[in-house]
Amino acid sequence: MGKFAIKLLLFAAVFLIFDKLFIIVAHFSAETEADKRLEYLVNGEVNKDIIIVGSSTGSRDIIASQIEDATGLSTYNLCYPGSNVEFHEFILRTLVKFNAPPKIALLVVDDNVELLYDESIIFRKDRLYPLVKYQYIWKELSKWEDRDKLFSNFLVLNRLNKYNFDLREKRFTPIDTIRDCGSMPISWKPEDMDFDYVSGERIYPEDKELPEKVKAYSKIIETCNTNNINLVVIFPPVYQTHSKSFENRIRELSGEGAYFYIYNTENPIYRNEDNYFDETHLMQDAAIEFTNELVIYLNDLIENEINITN
Amino acid sequence: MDITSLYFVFLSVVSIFIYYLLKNKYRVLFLTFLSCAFIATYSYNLLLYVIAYSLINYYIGLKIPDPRLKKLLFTTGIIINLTQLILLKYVSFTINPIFQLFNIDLDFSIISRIIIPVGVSFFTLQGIGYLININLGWEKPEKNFIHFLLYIIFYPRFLSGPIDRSNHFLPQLKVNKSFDRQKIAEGFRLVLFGLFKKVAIANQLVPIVNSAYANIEYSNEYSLWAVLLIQPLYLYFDFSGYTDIAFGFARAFGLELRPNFNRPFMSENMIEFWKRFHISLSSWFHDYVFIRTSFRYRKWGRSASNFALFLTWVLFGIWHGAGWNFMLLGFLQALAIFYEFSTKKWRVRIFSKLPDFYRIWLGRIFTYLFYGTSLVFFFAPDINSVFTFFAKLPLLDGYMPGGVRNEIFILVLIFIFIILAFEVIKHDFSNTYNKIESFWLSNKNWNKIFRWAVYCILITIVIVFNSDVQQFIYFQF
Repeated sequence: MGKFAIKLLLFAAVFLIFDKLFIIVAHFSAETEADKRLEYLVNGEVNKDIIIVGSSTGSRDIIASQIEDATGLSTYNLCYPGSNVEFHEFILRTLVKFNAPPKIALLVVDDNVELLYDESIIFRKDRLYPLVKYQYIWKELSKWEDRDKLFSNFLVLNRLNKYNFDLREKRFTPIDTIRDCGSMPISWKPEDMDFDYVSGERIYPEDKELPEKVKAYSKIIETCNTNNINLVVIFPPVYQTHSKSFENRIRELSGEGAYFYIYNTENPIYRNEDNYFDETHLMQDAAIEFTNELVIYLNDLIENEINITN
Repeated sequence: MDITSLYFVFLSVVSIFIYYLLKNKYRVLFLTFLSCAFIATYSYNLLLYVIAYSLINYYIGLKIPDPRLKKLLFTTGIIINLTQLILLKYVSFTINPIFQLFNIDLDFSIISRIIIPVGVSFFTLQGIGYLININLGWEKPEKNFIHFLLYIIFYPRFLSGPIDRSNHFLPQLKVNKSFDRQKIAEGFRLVLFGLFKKVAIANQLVPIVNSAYANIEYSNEYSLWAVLLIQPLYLYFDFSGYTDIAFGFARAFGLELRPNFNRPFMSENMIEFWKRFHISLSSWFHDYVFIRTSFRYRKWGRSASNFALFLTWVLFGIWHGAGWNFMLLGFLQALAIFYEFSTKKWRVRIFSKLPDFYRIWLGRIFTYLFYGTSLVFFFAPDINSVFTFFAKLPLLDGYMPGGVRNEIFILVLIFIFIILAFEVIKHDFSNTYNKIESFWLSNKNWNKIFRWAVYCILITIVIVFNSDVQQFIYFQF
């Protein structure tokens, strides 16, 4: 039995050495990524005055460079299409951990579904997989996957996912091309895209809220308060009636910890189907218009209400 | 100067006639002068460098037989040869990354920009081969520097070989040559045939292969399959075309070069293939690396030749260029040869039952396909492009329902196939299964290593695939 135990130990030692070969995979994996924003965050390279956090609505509808030009404050868009509030919280937490906290954070909420179950917005683990060479990232990942943190400490393989082995050079797709400022406005849409305006009062089903999402939202408020970040919650245009009950719920959860910007519901351009890619995302020209309106609000806020000098 | 240009051909033909008009004693000098002029068309610095390189090797070669200095000089010679090769060709892969690691702002690639190291990989192997031959007493040092210089720089083979051996080339320079019309005609025929191969075939395939590799991501998936099938032919016609031109002119000058190709696509396996393709290089590595290493570590038994095999082929790969892709190219060849050696007995047993025609052609097709596939590592600009190339092949790109990537699905199908194949063997071919089982459980060292390697791979797959935790189906009952 002793011999067998020694053999097992010997095998474990061999396997440990074999395991270390996969450090190469972990390193290559990060290099092949097209979207480097998360890596910039972890490397402390995003030291901006204004950052934008949210999902695809934030990445498509708000053009960071336009805000930067109009306010004179450096601005960067950290919105990830398909991401949920837990991911936004992670982004904000990572930002303040490795970078200078921004003066203003713009949180773009997903109308009505921000705190509900919606399969189209998830915690974007796929954005973390390529960066497992960073301890911080694989520790975060291990929270989202049933992986043993202890094993991950000494087993490189335990940090890897099968997608790490896709070592092709990633490229932006036409719809997910990220500009230098981090925004991804859309300038084209398929001809067969067809949708109708939904009018009438919208009820927000508070009873269907997911506690983990509510908790993540509260953590965003807390992170901003702790780090003296002025949080502005943004309700972007949607091709339907603005959900007042959802807005109220967000105001309630935010308490005194945030400012709110609701798109100009009277502006006719938000009632024109041609200005939308789909029901929730603006086309580039409308995004420029929406960002213009937001800039006016921000300039007013900076001038009259918040102190951004540190 | 482009060796397929009419200018080059014309000058060479004229030179051949001048060569035979000269007295025998001036011919080597004339050929050396021609070779120097040829190199000078690329770079004067390169010419000066090659002369200095030849002088050093010539001098070391002269002194090696001295028993007091033999070991020191031989080692110094090899180190000088390798160092200059690294400095001229592998700086970006070896030295620069080390400097970058320590934040040292030194860029050695400037050396290669000044010298323009054309032909360096070829003449370095000739230089090293010469020193080894002298060290082992296989030949005596060349006393005439001009002869030695010509051995290094003989212009028809200076750019791309064939890699000559000093004990093959130098003795030819001592022999008086008379004008042999038949040989010269043969030489010209070879040149013409080589030009045809290069210009009419290889050059026409260049755009297909180059454009595919220049933009793999946006290449048509089906064209990548075509490239996979075409590239061995492209490489063969390009390289053998060059070799024929070199052979032809050398023969016209009354000199024979070492053979480089011998109908490689008639090979039935990779061992045979490398005896037929780029023969001068593979035989150089066989004689000077494989044999020497196997001999040096002979106490290890069979492991010595396995080690020598992998070392030889990885070096063979690296010789082609600085990059992981070239290293993997060599490693793949070693793996194929290792497989062919290790499974020869049972392959012969199984395939000898097939009619000769099918056996031979199956072997040829598999060899061609394997070589074609491995050439992706040769043509791709870097290792990432290799992965992109394979991933872009149809069936491998895209998603299955549920967002499962096609390559993952195919991998799973392979796993299923392996397991079902074992079940079929166990059920229907118990004798074979018993043999596999006894091989698997054997306590011989190689069997153990194989077993452990399989375990490592299985554990790796289990850990990596285990990130998407799914409940067992029967948990619901």
